[in-house]
Amino acid sequence: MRNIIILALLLASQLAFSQKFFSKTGKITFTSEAPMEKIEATNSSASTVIDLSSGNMEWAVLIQGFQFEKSLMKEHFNENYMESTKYPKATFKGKIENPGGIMLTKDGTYPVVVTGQLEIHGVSKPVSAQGNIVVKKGAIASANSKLTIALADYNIEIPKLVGENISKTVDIAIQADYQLLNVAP
Amino acid sequence: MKNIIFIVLGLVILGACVWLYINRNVASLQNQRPDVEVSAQKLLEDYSTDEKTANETYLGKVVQVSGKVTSIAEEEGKKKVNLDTGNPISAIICEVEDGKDIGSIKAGDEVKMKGLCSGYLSDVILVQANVVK
Repeated sequence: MRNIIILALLLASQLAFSQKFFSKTGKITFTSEAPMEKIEATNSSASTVIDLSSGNMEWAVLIQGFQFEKSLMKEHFNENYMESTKYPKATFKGKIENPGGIMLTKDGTYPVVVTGQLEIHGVSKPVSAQGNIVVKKGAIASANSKLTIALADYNIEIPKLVGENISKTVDIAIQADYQLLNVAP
Repeated sequence: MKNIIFIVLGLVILGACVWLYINRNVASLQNQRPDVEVSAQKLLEDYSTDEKTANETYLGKVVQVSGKVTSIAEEEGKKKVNLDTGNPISAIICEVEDGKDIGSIKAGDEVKMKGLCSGYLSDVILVQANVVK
């Protein structure tokens, strides 16, 4: 009996101190709205990790995994704009400001600011975005954010010919449902 | 007069063709031949040893992967079939093409999946995947 109590306490303490959460099914949608055309694509296999003890947050996504409706948009996106054979991934590495404000003991939606480096098309730039982290049952359940980036910042050139069909900025929406990362002892 | 009708008709047909070309939807992978055939183990091994070389072989190609199903997940109508690689933390994740049926496959089945390889995070990911019958 005593052993069981000790075991339960050990497990509970491990759960309480494990502060890493991950997802392999993060969703990233980008939208570019221009007078002529709306371009939208979604990727539903982004990887992300949050380490609440340090406040670190990371994201990685495969460019060729974005799903488009129109074939030509997909082709231009991969070949002309993102050069996805040369730069197959986009990544974000940053920190949650004030991670201590997120209490796993209290369910709720915590507004956060995350600041870090966003690398797209081989170009790394500092970004800062507002978002939400949702805590449920003592764990991070999900996170979401929206940000807008300028294509020129990442050396993505839009040919003059199609310039009017493509907006110079792109809206990005990210969302992920997290699981506790069980680190082997 | 007749000539003008023919010219106008020709332009209309040409315009329609251009419009259809520009607006065509992404083609299904179902009837495309695979560029590469590989086992789930080998695909992960190639990516974990040398990602750059593996990308030259697989990235953006129609890859047919054979392996054992570890799990099937469904979220918002999107299915994902995970294939066993022998490594518990890295799978081959096959995002099933929208609207495509995966039949009665279940965890434990040996299957062949055909999809567009989008690269490697901690898993190798195939998009627009179809079950090869």
